[in-house]
Amino acid sequence: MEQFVRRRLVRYVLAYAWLLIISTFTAFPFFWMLTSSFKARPEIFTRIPVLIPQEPTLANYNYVLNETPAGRYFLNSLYIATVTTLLALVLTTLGAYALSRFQFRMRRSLGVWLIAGQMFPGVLMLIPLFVTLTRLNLVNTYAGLIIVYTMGALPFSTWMLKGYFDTVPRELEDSAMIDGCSRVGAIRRVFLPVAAPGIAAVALFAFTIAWQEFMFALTMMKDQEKYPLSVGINFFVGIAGSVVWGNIMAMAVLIIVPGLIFFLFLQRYMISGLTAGAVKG
Amino acid sequence: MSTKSLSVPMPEGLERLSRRLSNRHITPYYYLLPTVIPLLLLTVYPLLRGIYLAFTQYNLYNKDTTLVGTLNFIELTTNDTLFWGALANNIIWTVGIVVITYVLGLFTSIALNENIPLRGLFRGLALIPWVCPAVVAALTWRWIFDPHFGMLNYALMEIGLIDRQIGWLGDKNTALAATMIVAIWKLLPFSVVMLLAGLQTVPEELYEAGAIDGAGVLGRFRYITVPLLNRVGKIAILLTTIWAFNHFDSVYVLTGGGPGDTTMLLSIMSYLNAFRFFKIGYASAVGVIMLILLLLPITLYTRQVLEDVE
Repeated sequence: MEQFVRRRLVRYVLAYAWLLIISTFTAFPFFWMLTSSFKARPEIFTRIPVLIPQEPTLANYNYVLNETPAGRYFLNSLYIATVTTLLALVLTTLGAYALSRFQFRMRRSLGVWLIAGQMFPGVLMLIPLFVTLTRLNLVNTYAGLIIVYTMGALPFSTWMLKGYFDTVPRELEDSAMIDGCSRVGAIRRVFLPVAAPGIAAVALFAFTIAWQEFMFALTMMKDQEKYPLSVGINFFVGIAGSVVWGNIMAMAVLIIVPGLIFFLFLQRYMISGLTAGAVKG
Repeated sequence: MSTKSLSVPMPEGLERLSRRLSNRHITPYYYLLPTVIPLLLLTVYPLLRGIYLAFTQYNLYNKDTTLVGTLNFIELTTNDTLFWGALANNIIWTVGIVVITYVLGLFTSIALNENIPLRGLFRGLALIPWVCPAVVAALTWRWIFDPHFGMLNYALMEIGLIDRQIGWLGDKNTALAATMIVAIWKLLPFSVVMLLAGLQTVPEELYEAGAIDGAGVLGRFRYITVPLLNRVGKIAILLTTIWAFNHFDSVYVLTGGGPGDTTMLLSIMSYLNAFRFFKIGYASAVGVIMLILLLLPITLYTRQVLEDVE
């Protein structure tokens, strides 16, 4: 017995030690970003780094929100990500429902394409899409980016949602249809409420793609006032000459906060979504 | 739907059409078409077009396409001083990231699988890089790596591991490793989540049975944990490989391929050729080579996922 307890103790100590090391690695950049966003210039450029600001200031936020287009970038990102999410929700729900409930020709090929479709090199897809969207006058428009992001979210979300729909018993809709519902009515009244967690995971996934994406936005957006946050913050670093880290970190916090809120509320769904297959970072 | 509202008799042809459209063999396509058409237009078409472009010389401005056969590929593999270096970097980068991410993810998920207090907090902390866009991660780490004011040099000098400031991203010897750290940071949450989910399917009784049969900690790890993690582990490794191989964002922001092309990856090389030098066909050829190299992991991954379903 005593030996058992001692062994268990050793395991706990080892687990804690490792978790402390690894969470220092994963969380330190966030800590550093957050505290630095409240530092005035003298506390940023020091030989001995200041961990916690002694004289916290809102000057960085004030500057970023009032003197730079960061607020504009934020709204651009919010608009692009919201429309992408809504579009992806409608399209993936329809597609995933068909894949889960109906038998049809090419079902398997479609499945293969959905799984493999998100794995191709981004640059290989970027070049022809850029050429095509230029022809359609969609370069440098929100619509262009929204189309690209919806496409990016579609394959994996559809596959993930199909997996979730498979776990919802078919009898649910069948009995609703026997009771006189049309199929659409049965889906809306009975099926969707049950499938909500899977749909929430898709929303989270689509929003994250649109919120974080960089390469396509960098290539497609020419006008500064149309930049989403990811391109905006990089542009701002580029023009700032010697990098004013306090301001950049305040901007970084603005980018991360919506994701963080989502993360705290939807962590469970995110994990179930991730493990249903995989999620592109 | 009430039938009375449809009491006006339909012409026969229309009726047949309506019957055919509501046929249960066609119904799936109503649901599928809105998904499949954009999918075909936006993934199949660009892919085929991208492969086609690799065999052309394409001018973005006068939209002049000339088929040149395999010229781009010959040029790349025989004349381009950058290509083989970028390929080697890409392979080192990918293998390094995959191995380290897997090992760190394995230890972390094993620790998180222990029933310890504050487990939820630690799990949250381990997963948090997932919410950080690659660009923001790159900028924050760039500052941590800063030779004069960065946290890393300060910490390492305090511990006594180094005795002078290192310009992690500016030094040809350290730049690739530094960019790898940022990518590992970003990919770790995925690895942890997958492996933790795998571990949680391992029944506790197996370990107890193993202990009774005299297996030590290492023995149980080797003969129970590792084989049972086989499936999720495979998926985690394949996906990390594909993502790392295709990666662009954080390296572009951290170094842009420098210093002295030591962090030049194939995706960066392709991007610069396309959008800085406007060599669209040439850039597509780099993309096609990436695709060819990825075919094996993509196939294995797809097969694995389909196998799990059926």
